[in-house]
Amino acid sequence: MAALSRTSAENLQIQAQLDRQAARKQAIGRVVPYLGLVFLFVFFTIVTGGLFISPKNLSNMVEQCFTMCIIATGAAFVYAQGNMDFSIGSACGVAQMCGAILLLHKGWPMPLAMLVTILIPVVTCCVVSTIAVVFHVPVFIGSMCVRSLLAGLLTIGVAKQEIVVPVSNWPIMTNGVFKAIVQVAVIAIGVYLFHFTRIGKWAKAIGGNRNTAKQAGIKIVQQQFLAYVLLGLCVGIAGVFQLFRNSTVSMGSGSGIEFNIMLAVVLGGFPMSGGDKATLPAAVIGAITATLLTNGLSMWGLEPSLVNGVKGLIFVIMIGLSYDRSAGKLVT
Amino acid sequence: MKKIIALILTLTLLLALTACGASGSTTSTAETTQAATAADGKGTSIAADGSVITNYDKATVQTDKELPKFRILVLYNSFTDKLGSQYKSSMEYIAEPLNIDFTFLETGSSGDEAMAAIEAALVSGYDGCIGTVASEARAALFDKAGVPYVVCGGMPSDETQAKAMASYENYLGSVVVDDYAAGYAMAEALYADGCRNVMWDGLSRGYSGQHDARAAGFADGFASHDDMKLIVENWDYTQWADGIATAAATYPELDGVGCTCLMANIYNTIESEGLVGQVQLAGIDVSEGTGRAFENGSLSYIAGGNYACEQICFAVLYNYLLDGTRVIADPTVNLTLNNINLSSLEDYNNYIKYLDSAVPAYTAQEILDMTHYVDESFNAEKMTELCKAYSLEDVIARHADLVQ
Repeated sequence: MAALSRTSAENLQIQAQLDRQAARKQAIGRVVPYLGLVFLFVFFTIVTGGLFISPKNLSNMVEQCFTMCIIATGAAFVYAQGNMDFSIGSACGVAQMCGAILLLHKGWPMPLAMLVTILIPVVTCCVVSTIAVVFHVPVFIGSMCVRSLLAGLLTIGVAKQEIVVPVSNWPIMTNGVFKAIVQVAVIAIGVYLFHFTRIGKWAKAIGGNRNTAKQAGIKIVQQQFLAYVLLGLCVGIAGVFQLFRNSTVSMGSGSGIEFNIMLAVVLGGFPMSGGDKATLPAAVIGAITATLLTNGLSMWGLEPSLVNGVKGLIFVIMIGLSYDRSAGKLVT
Repeated sequence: MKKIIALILTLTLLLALTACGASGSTTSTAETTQAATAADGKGTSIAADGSVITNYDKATVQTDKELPKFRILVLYNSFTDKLGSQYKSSMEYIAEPLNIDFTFLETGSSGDEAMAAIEAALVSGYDGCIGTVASEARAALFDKAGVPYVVCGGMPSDETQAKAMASYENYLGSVVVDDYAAGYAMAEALYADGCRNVMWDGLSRGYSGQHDARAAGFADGFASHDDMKLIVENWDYTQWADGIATAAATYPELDGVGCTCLMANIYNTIESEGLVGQVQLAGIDVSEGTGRAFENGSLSYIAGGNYACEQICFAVLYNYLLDGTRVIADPTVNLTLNNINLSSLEDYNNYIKYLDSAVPAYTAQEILDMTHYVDESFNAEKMTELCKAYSLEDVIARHADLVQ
């Protein structure tokens, strides 16, 4: 009993020490993703003999990170709430398929066909959210089911007709400057919504503590739907440009996006469980880091299938080392 | 802090381990020749002094001109399956004599992943590329990189696409095997062997232009016989073997199966289900079990030797690299290579001896013969004739002295 008694001054000292440790940990946590990015840059530059930072490869990486950065911007809102969505890859593929069919086989004007491409993932993301909210099915399971459904639709659609887009008819859709403008605009709007409006603040509050957020008057269901709508919009926009980048739609279109986004979130230091530590720039930095990693491993000579294996291993390690177990289950 | 240090150490370890595997797909010409020599004992003999002479000694070329070194990127889904491994070995065979440095890159299934992998590879600098995807995006990618591109086994989906691809200076054209003819021949062979109630075992439409062409050929061949019925179709590649067993049990009258890809497990199914003598097979791609199927009489026809398409693609590319000659005059029209048609055990044994052993369909000298380095008059017309002449008899005639 005597060992437990402390003066109030000692208590204050201990508290200050704990506060300093927490602040230091937080500061390091904020810097680590950037350090990781720099580390990868330096590492791959060395092992590729400088080819990694050649103008051609830098240009390639800017092109390659477009899809990931756009989708990561939307994913930030969903992940900040502690949710996730495994159907975005298939949704992207189906969106591309529908847009291409309307454009090529039904003669729709390009802007209208692409609007449909953008809206389809919004609908599918809303379905995932509905399943979770109305039927109380865990998001993980609901999104996997939707993923399977969409993958089947994609297979049927691709089997029925050739889907090849003559990209030279719409050169602006592959124009680097135009895509950079779109990318910057989407990220800027995302940052504004996430950090300067109630949408982002409430998303983090829901991720931090759902019950407390509900008690505070935040409409959980409404905010969840909104987050998934934003994710769907970003997936749709990415899908439009991916269609013109690849010029074909196949059963593999969009595959792996959901995994790459999860990896991006983790690499960027964005907490998988959401909450107040979530920042949108972390998701975007993570997307850039994931792109660098893929590009660097490919330039180093690794086969694409092995690149996925390495990424998977990194993901498991990062989750194991960085996940805050006090936040509860990783997947709900 | 401990977590961060552990993370850094783990990443360093991971990257170090990756380095052991990241030896690249580049194939050193000297290594592959040596490896190819060691891998297969066929075509070898023992000299008086006890040293081993291989037919690889004949994998040289006779020319008084110095052959420039070229770096060629070869793309395919997977070089571990039968066709992929044949593509790779047929290229490795000609690499050293022709002074070519081949890099084999597996591109995976996702369009985005494949594009990223190709973009990363192109940064290293290649003189040419042989791939399997005929799309405007690929043609544009290689044109932007200034790398001539030939498509092996794939074709533009329609005339519009073909014209769009042909508008890119660096797109040289597409070489395809006559899959339609193979499909048609399958139906004819089954009919000739008395099959009247047949099954089609195919791949989902839209997945592969080659498989679609085979299906179309089979459908037309089947339609040309009023007394032939198509009683069941299976388009699920995971059910190619099991589907036959199920169909045979459901439809006892089933007497013939046309399969877009005759894999080993299909022959096993025919044997294990007691269908030998009851159900005839016809299909594409020689594999483990083909010889057995010819022996027990369950195989009516099989088309093979598709890998030569890769070598012809190389010849197209090589001509362009040497002196700018285009041996596909009109890139909107595919250059079509015949199939190797096998209808008997004797055909199969000759196929194994002359096409699936030490020497591939075309030697390095024969590839060089297709260029102005040897034949000043070689042109698109001659290339077309050469492709039409490709057959088992043609290969036997050319390689009788090479293969012992």
